[in-house]
Amino acid sequence: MNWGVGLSVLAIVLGVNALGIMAIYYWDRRR
Amino acid sequence: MTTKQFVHGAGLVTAAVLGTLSQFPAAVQSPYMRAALGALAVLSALFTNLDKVAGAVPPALLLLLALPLFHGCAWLQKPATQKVVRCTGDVLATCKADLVPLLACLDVSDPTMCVLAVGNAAGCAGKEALACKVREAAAPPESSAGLIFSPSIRQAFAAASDAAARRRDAAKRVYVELGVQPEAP
Repeated sequence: MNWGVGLSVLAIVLGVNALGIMAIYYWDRRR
Repeated sequence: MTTKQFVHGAGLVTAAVLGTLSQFPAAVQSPYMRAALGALAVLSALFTNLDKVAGAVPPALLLLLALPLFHGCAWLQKPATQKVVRCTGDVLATCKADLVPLLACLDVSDPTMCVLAVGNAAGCAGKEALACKVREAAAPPESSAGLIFSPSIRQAFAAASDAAARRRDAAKRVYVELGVQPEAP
């Protein structure tokens, strides 16, 4: 695994994490 | 290094920086903006270098499977009493970044303005707080208004005598818990 793959993994995981946090935040605000 | 390699490298570094930035509420306050940065990070990682991404997807999927576990732990740590308390008015702040300026101008004579919880609020990373303006101005401390969940804050809350002192003390303790200095109003 080279650094390009590592950066891709990092970006994908953190990006999806941010989307998930926003979904939880939105759901909590609606509740 | 060829131009193509440079562009690919720069794209992936940008994607990683955007993804990292999306994790810090202190840097980007709005959760919607953080989500947009996250989406941008995913898209730029996907479209910058597809052959690299092909190798990145399996480990990323594995890590993504572990994410709910990580966030689930934060959910489990939420105090059970939080389910009882409802914010009956406007939510004023859910994150530290929103709460700090609010506390700076917290009107302790306003019985409807309360700090409700300090802990891991949903949608926020790390130690956060929830402040709320309730509609029932005369609500007793045991009900929705002014109920503080953090044990140390709860102690401070119980020790204080009158309602204004309780809120003022709780606000001070929030500063201590969050590790920030109150700003001048």
